[in-house]
Amino acid sequence: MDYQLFLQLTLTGLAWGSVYALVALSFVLIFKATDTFNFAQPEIMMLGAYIGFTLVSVFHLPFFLGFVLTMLIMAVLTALMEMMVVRPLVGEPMLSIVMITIGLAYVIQGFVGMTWGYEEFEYPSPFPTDPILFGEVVISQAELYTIICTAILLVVFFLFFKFSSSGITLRATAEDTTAAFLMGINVKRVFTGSWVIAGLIAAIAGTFLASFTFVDPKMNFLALKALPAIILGGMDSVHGAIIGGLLIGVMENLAGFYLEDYLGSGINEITAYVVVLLVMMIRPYGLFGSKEIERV
Amino acid sequence: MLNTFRKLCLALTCALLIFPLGAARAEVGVTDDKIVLGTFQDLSGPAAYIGKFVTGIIKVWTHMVNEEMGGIHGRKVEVVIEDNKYDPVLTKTVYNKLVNQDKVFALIATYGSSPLTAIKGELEKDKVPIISTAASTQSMFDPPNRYLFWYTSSAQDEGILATDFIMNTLKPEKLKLGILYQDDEWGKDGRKGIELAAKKYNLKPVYSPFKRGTKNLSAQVLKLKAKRVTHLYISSYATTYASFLKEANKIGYEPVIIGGYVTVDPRSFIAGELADGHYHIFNHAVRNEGVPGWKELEKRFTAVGAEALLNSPLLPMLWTPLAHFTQVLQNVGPDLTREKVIDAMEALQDFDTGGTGPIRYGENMRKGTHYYRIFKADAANQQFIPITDWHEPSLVWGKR
Amino acid sequence: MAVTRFCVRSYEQDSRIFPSTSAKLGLLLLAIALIALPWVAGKYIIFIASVAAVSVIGALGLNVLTGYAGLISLGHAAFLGVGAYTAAILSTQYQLPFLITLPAAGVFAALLGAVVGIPTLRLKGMYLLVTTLAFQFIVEHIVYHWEDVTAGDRGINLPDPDLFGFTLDKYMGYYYVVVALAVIAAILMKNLAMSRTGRALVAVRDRDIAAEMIGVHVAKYKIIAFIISSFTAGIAGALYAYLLGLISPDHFTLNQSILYVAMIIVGGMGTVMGAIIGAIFMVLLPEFISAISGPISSAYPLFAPRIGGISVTIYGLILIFFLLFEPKGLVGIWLRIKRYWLTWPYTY
Repeated sequence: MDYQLFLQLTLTGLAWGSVYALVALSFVLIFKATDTFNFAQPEIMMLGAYIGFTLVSVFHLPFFLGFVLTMLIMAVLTALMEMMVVRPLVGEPMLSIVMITIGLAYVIQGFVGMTWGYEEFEYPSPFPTDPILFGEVVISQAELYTIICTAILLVVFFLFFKFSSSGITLRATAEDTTAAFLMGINVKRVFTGSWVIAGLIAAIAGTFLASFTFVDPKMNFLALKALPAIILGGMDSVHGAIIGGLLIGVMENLAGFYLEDYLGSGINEITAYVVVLLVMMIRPYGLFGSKEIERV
Repeated sequence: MLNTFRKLCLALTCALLIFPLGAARAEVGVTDDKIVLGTFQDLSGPAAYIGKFVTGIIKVWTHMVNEEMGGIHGRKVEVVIEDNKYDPVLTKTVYNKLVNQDKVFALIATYGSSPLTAIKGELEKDKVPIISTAASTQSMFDPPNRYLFWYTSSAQDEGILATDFIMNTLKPEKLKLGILYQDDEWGKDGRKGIELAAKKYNLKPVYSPFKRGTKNLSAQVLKLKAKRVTHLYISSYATTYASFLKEANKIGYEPVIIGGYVTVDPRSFIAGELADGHYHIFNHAVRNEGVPGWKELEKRFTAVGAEALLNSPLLPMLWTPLAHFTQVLQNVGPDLTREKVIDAMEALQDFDTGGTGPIRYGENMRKGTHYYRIFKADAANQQFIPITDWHEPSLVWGKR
Repeated sequence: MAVTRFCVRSYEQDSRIFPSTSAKLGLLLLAIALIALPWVAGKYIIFIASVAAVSVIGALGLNVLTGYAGLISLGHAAFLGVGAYTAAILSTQYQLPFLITLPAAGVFAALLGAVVGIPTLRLKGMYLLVTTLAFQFIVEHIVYHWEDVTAGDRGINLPDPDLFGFTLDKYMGYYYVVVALAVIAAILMKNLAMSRTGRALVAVRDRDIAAEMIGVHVAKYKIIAFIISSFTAGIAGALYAYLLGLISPDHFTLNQSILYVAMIIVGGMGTVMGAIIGAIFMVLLPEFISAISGPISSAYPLFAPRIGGISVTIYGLILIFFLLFEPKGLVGIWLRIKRYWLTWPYTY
């Protein structure tokens, strides 16, 4: 019984962790290309879920078509956001860029509130609702597909950064924007491209998260947990982000079950941040990040 | 001579004494043709769906008072609405604005225990009556605050009622009582109710709290399953309730569930078939019962094109206090003051709600709800069917 | 971002707090306006003015950390919360007077600031940002769950503040106290900026390695920045708690932290004037927005339930606007206007 409980908690944790991992991946992609964070990433995730919901539930498109259209719309939107809001600030201090993405996050939040109101909606989940049994543990199909999809994306992006020339271009730009520019890399296109890919991944994460629960204007808050995932994994590491996300998902579920009686009922909600504080003290560059911390 | 002087003095003193009374010192927010009332609503925060709902109801109510009744003693009502985002800090600010800037006579249709707690102290200082609903916590009426009138389902009552129902009606052979609650004041009050009832019936309940806003309930569900809880009282919102049902179904956990009053909501049926056959505690009649009070609401709301609001079973919770307040304003008469309103609130007994659920206050009794029923969910028709009569919890508040 | 003063003429003048007679005159007028306010304005305006004054103190604190020392923080509200809870607990459980609880709140927050500051010495940029975010969430959690001390969700009711045995009226006496403290804080911060410490902080911000080379003890100054900032935040938190008369965990959330960063950005980072103007601007902003959204919601009733989205959108747009078009903030705009008139009719 105890063993089975542990497995069950871990498996559900993996599924939720996959959502964090996907959002974390989208953060890391932008970070790898542009050397800054986009704090509007959770809101972009929420926007993707809302657009998908609208196309499928309101305009009654078939799910697959709706999903593809959502991806297209998100690609255009994220490209516009990058070009209009963030690009003019390239080279400014980091805080400016962080704050402008926070500003962008507020604008998207407000837009969602004005357009869809503040109620929860049921997401037209494409996954059948019957759970699947693995020996003694169960998993819902939405959760299973989330885990599979995360695994695929992990492999794809790992190979992309390692071997494809666009991946190397992205890394080169992050490493030294000026040098990359001088070497003939179209830096602007790299920046926009990273935003678009990150936006698409966030929208996929939104689709999964909405299938687990609902579409609601507070979805973004959950995705903030991707931040500790990134810190844990190392900010410039694709597999670090994904493993960090999964770890956070599993740990918070385990803590919610085993530690709650001692540490209070919200413990699973802040586990992630406690872990971050501990990791920061021991390995400030995360578990898999590159070690380029300056010491003064 | 002296006599005349004395008489003159006496007359003058009398005049001075009577003058302020005779000049009918106008109460704040009341003019010859208008009563200004205020409310703070969550229009963009976590409880925004209630805010949207209540602003709609307020519109229907002002329409009823101003157009159909032609005002109260010749005065039309005007309601100033402020957005508090369900944020206690902001509530303090907008309260201040309503009372000191907009100079409202009273506050109506407010809700939420944390926003109300934030201004409770000020109410007593400013002596502004507030007619509030949907703040299920004990601290709203215990100890009584002269200016705060409360009308909703009490979480403590619910905890006791749930246990009563299990022990006296269901009488299961095997029983392990549990409670899943949001770890705020509201949820903790539900826990307190379960604790009180558990002491009475000699039970050892399992407590499973979760942080407000949590979406992943798997750890909580597994805990309840691992502790073999057979009967579960859930004190949370309908969407959380539906999420719980989904998650419990996933791991094959099927306890007998008794939901609190906010789970009497069409959104509980987001979980589909899983929501069928569970019990719910509720202090109002539901629409499908067809009581006269609901029939009248249907007529009134349809007439002004607000029929969408009729879909929420919580409508009487907001409407009844407003209707009750309207009656109170009429009872007070043309010389309207805040203190008189409060006395009239206390004095009005047996207000006819048309069977949608009784409301009653009294001296030092600021709790408007006393009677409840248990409902059963019918997922096929998306309805809730009452299965018991109106009754009080076995541990009546005040004598616990 | 540096402190730029266009209108000074000599070094001697530059090293003074108030560079010119006209600045002194302007400040005198401002002082008169602040003193006269409660006699002419209604209670609501005094309340908002008090909130603005408290926010000014809080923003000045963050300005030391982020504006001078360049240490980014998304956990400022947590320090305010610590100060507020210290004051609340001391005044309710130990019946200590305002004069003791206020400095105690500052000292306690400063101690915590030092504790947080030490592990973050090694961190820069993003890592520091997320660590302060973690600190914010953990403080929220502790305040929410340590019920024996903080009363959790219910919050703590504070008594009215008292001074030498006299209870201060919220709309008169307390207003003066808060405004006076805000003025003192502003003067002290201005002094700090011109002292060795202030210049050392700026050196750490701009080039930390170079700063270390010329003999600025970087670690020491980072800790000092944390301590000054959190002390000020603690004071602001305590003042805020007394002003509201009630505090609960909802008062010190991440949104509050972001709001404080927004204040110093909108006002103009790294300047005392910027922190002051930014705080006042951000406090008044919701007032403007409700003045706009009120008519909109009565004109389009169907839209009324969604009107809340407007305020959030405007808030975001203002942040974006200032960062894109006026990185020096409101102070930058003010300086440009001043320079324009000084050199008028010539454009240079």
